[in-house]
Amino acid sequence: MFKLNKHLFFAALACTALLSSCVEDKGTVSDADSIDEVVEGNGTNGSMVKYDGEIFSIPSPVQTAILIRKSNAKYNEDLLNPTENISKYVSEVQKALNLGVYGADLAYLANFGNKQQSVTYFKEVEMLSTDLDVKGAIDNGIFSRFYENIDNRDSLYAINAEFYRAGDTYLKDSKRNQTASLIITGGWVEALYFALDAAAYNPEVRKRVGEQGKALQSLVNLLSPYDDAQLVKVRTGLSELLTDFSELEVVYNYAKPIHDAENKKTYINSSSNVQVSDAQLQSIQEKLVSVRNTIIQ
Amino acid sequence: MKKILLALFIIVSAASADAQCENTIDYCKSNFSNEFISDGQVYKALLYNDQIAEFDISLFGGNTYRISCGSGEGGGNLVFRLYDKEKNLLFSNQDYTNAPFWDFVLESTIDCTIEAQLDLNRVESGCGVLLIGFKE
Repeated sequence: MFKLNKHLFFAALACTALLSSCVEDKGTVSDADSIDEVVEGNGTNGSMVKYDGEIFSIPSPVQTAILIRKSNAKYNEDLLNPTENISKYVSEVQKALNLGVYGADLAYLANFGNKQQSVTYFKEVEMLSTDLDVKGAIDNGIFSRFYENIDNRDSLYAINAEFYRAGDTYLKDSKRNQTASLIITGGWVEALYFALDAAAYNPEVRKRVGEQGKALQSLVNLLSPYDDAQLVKVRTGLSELLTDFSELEVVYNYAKPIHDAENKKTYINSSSNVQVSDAQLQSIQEKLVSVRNTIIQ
Repeated sequence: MKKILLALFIIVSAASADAQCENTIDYCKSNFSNEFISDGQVYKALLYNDQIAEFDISLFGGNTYRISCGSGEGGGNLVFRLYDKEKNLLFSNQDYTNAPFWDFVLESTIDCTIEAQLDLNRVESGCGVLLIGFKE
């Protein structure tokens, strides 16, 4: 049985917070950057803490890429952020946002087995992660496995996700939550950009677009503590996008789940439906493109 | 001299908390087979007593999700519950001896809240970790 000494635990908690103040990101950082934000009295019982100051799980760009592949979308190189743009990214904010963007591009490329482009984009990801002082914290095996598995789409998805999880862990451990949030934001924006392209002709993808409202709200919250000028522009654009999502009608129906204890599995039978009209889709697309342009240009 | 000792204590204590989280993350990772793809994020919180950590998540239809959790160097110390947006309880691993991982099959997308807290019969403080993976 694993039990921590109570006093040692609190000393460690306090000391972690103290040390973290020495290595925070540049710029204004609020309480949301502390390891855990304690909110008294909000839980069903006891007090509530937020996981790493986050309040939402953002969908993986890999997950959206897989959906796009299943929609039979055709490869469109014009959707990618050109690698030539990388020279424009000077600040940490720009680099972090575009590390997320290029990660989503990699997931998109994996869909279509474009080996040469995948290698080119992976090099950009390596370069940005080096600049952001993230690469050193990521197991070198991830990089070698990428090249070894360049022909295996499923492995590329997994390696991509593993890379970003390792980066996320390292950045949060280093109290660089702003950078971690920006990478997630860039990935989400780029993945939605791909999805919007496919949503025009595929109802499943259109529905998935409409299901992004909660994630978007969370991104806006994630970015709210920071005051970097470009970051504020991105956040403002996302907030405007959020108004479109808030107008979508979502219908939810609860149904009792079925549990399969032997296989450690639960079948969730509840359902939800969201309708996105052509006009709503177009408005979302225009606003999203504007945010993406702020990020990549 | 006192200041030096205090500084050393601070460094060792902080490293200890980080190391504890790191070990738990490694344990949680071990519950994923190759078929599951990580969502790219790590959810962790230092928990004490009856504190509850929570976060919201959209689980997308057509996917199977695996949630792996732990506190300390193994599973079974962390209780997690999944609620829908109307606060209907969909699952609690407490009903299955604090199972350290569980799969969720979704036909349709739903917005959920995950709550996690320590099993006070086993631990009273520690680093709670949740990892999420998915497969088509």
